[in-house]
Amino acid sequence: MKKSVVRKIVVAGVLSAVAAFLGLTRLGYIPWFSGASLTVMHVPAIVGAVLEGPIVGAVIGLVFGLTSLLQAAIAPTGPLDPAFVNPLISVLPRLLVGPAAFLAYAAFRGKLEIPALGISGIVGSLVNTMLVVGALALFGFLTWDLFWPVVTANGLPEAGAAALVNVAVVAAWKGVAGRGGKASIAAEEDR
Amino acid sequence: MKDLEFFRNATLGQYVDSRSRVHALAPLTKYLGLLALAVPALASRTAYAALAVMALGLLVALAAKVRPAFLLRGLKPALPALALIVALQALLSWPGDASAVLLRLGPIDVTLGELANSARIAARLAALMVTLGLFTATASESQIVHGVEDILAPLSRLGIPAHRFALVVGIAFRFIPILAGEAELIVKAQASRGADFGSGTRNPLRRVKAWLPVLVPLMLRALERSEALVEAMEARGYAGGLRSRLATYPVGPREKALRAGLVLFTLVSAILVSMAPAPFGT
Amino acid sequence: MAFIDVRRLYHRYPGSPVHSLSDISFQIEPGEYLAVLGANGSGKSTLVRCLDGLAEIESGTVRLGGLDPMNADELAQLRARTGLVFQSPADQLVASVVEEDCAFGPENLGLPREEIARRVASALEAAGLLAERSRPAWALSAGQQQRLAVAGALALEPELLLLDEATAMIDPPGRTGFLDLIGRLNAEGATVVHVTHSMDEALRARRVLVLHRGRLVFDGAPGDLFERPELEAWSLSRPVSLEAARRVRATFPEFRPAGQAPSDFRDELARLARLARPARQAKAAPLARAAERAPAASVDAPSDDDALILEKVAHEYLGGTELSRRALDGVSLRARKGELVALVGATGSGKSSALQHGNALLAPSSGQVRILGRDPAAKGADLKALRSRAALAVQRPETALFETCVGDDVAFGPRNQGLRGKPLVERVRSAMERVQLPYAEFRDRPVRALSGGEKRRAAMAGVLALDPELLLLDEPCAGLDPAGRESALALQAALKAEGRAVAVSTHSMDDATRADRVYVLERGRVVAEGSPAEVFLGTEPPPGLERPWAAEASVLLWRAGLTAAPAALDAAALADEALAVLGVPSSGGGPRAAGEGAP
Repeated sequence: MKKSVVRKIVVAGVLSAVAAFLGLTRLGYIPWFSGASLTVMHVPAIVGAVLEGPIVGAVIGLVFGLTSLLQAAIAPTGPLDPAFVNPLISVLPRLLVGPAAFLAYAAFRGKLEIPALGISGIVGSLVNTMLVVGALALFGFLTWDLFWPVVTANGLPEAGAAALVNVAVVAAWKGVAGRGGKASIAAEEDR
Repeated sequence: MKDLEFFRNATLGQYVDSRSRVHALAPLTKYLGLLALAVPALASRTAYAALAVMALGLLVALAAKVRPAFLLRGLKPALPALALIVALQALLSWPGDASAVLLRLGPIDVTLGELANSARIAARLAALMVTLGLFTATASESQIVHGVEDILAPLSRLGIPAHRFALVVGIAFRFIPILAGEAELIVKAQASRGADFGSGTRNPLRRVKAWLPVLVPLMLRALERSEALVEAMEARGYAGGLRSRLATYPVGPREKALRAGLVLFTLVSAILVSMAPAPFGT
Repeated sequence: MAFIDVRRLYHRYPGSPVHSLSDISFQIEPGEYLAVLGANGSGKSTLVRCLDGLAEIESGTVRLGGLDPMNADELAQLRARTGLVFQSPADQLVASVVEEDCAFGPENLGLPREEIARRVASALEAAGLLAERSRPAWALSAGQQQRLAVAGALALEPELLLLDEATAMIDPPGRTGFLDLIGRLNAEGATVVHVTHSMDEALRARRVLVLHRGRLVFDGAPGDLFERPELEAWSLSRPVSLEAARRVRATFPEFRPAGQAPSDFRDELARLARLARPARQAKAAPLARAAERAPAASVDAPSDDDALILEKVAHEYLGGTELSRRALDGVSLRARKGELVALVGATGSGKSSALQHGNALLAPSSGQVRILGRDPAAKGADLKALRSRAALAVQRPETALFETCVGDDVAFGPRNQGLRGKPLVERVRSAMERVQLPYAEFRDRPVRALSGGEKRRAAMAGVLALDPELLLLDEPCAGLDPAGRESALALQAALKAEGRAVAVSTHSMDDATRADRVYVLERGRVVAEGSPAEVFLGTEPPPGLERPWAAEASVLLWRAGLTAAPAALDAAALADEALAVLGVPSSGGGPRAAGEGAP
């Protein structure tokens, strides 16, 4: 696939739509043990950054942030939602998710394609969690001593989910074989 | 599988084509109107200020021939969350809250400050909802996109390819219903092969396992459809450059005056509402 | 000089070991109407993409009106003179409002507003969409959307129209409107290159190219193509009209209908019949066949044989909201074990909704559903278990494949059923082999590396791997080439022969003639039902639909007094009928002549 401006524009638009769609339908929220839902809404920004570069990632992050702002304002569903009406909490951190994921990917790509995708998913996701939780604390919606507990309880599983989805989507899209190129059903043949 | 139908409802607001004078305004003017209401609503530190903004929004709605009930109805799904916010406000005790205790239920104190805070949060949300509802009711999807284009036009003249961002927004708008259809198809295909949906499992790990097979093909489908759209756009001669536009929005002297008025109103009202003393130090 | 000039063209996808196009050369004169045929994956779409500069040429030259698509400046000019319409209507909409979408091309050319407005108005006018100009584009029907895609191309005022399987995803009425539009544009001087799987559409062209495994194997008139013995090897088939005529011609070499319309067949037969046996003519039966039949079976009491019963089922989407839409309005149908049932009707008539009630994906707003003897609405009904016994293949099921490797995707269903180890592997192996994807070869194959046809078969294997008693297949043949379609139909017949119940929806009346029973849906209601003979050979064609070609010809023969009753549903039966008229004893009516086949 040749790189083109048109593709960058379209991928940015379409993956922004995915992020917004995941938010609007609540499909992007996975109920979690900690009580606060996990979210995978930032994953499109990571995928977009890995496929089409940091600017595309930032644009998707911007749309994702604006969606969460609008949603917090129009249809709040959680006690922290009013905080997200502040664009410094809902938009600014999300702008950096894609570029961070891109840098992580760029540092490791090449021979180690699959690990690079995993790491970029983790980095992008953790940047999202830490910046959002940090901003929440900064504006007094959380206390700072909750910072690490929240990052651990939600940020780590979110990072895992982001890595998983990023690897699955990008590897399939680019045709990179995972698992040593073998179907897992192969293991069933010897059982 | 009632939850499947929900996908079809995934819209941000709804355009009400009542062909009023508000509808006839140029997109840029509508964006300025949005700011003129949203900024003071966000800056408001008392419930009164937020309610005043909401009242103003409802007045404009009348002028736009949009039924206020239509805008207020959107509040209903938000009620449980609002109740939760109010309850949390009451349950937690806030440092520095020195206001009078109104009610004491065992260990829980309900203070005047907490009550005012809850009222402010609720009123602010209502004002924002009315404002955004009014905007989407009076600006169609393509006007929203054209507005972005017009706002960014000065940047384009400076050589920054900002017009591309308007295209991004337009594509995003167009793809949300498409994704809804794709997600529905994928969920149905998986459910038909015995995947767990809607069987109400509460185990988060199992839910993650059920959603991954949806999310991954949804994103792959989105990428496949992007590829098709790239070809369609290139085949029709788009190469990322500046474009002309079929739609025009002529702006007369009265609308220009209205724009100036809206900008002024935004600034003045924001300063006024944020200067009003916040009650009880919250 | 030729308008399109392609010489020794080679193309290869990045990373692919084989050429997708090898040594292609041809010329097209201005104003020609050319069809391009070939199996799924034969390189047809790639060829179109090379012409429009969407795919990179490896070697060789391509010139359109003297312009080179590999040169960036010339490509921009070339695209300003070329309209390209793709397969999927929804994929090529760029803007959300009809006229804005139509304006996208001229806007890219940077034309002044007045010129854009003029072009948009005349393009929408030509496509018959002027009245829809300010409607949202997504609210149009698939057929309208495809005409909008043509309008978007027309707004460029192109000299060349490239159609890439542009009719594959629209229903028969939408298709007719689309093809008529293309025919008019060609008559007005546009050059048309039409890539298609439909042999009937190929007959509209004056010249046909056939691609087979990336090579150009035929370049000539459609009439000559369909006489070629390699037809089957190229995964093509003969249109019913030509097949029937050919069979008659085997005995009567002078049988040469003037055209491909059913009436041409009748006229030619009448002419020969007059020459051969001027005295004797069969007496026309006074009654329509449908009226002779007993009323349809829905009055029967439910029995153990019933795999699926829908009884007066109504379904409303988003009931109670402003967007509510009634998809089904009192539909009653049943599918028995060992029976193949076909649902036909236009897009939006309720076929998919009816099938989705068949495995409890949808629950009726009113009415009764029984799936394999169970009531899915009953308290404590295990829907998950029921769904794996009554399996649904959704439309374009290949879009829902999600595992990296084919073997794992096929295993998804049986794994959910709890199968592990050897039995799981066996289930997956046999399912894959039934759709001609050998397990050893395809187990580890990445899903993304499959061709479109292979993906469809992999998705089908995923459903078969559930080993279901009832199969609900939503347009299983859509977008397949003739060979793929034939093997899909054979699979349906085999599943039925094993005692499973099979319910399919289809836009193809020819496919529907293979069913034991046909239900015709229109706006959420069953408007006709019965055996294919009852539905297609009555005095009136099924509401809103055209008869299959052979059935239409058979009815015309009967109307002309040549036969006692219409009985043919396919080319072979029609040829037998015609031969009988000409005094050749029938070979037993053919295995699929109507009257015997229906239970």
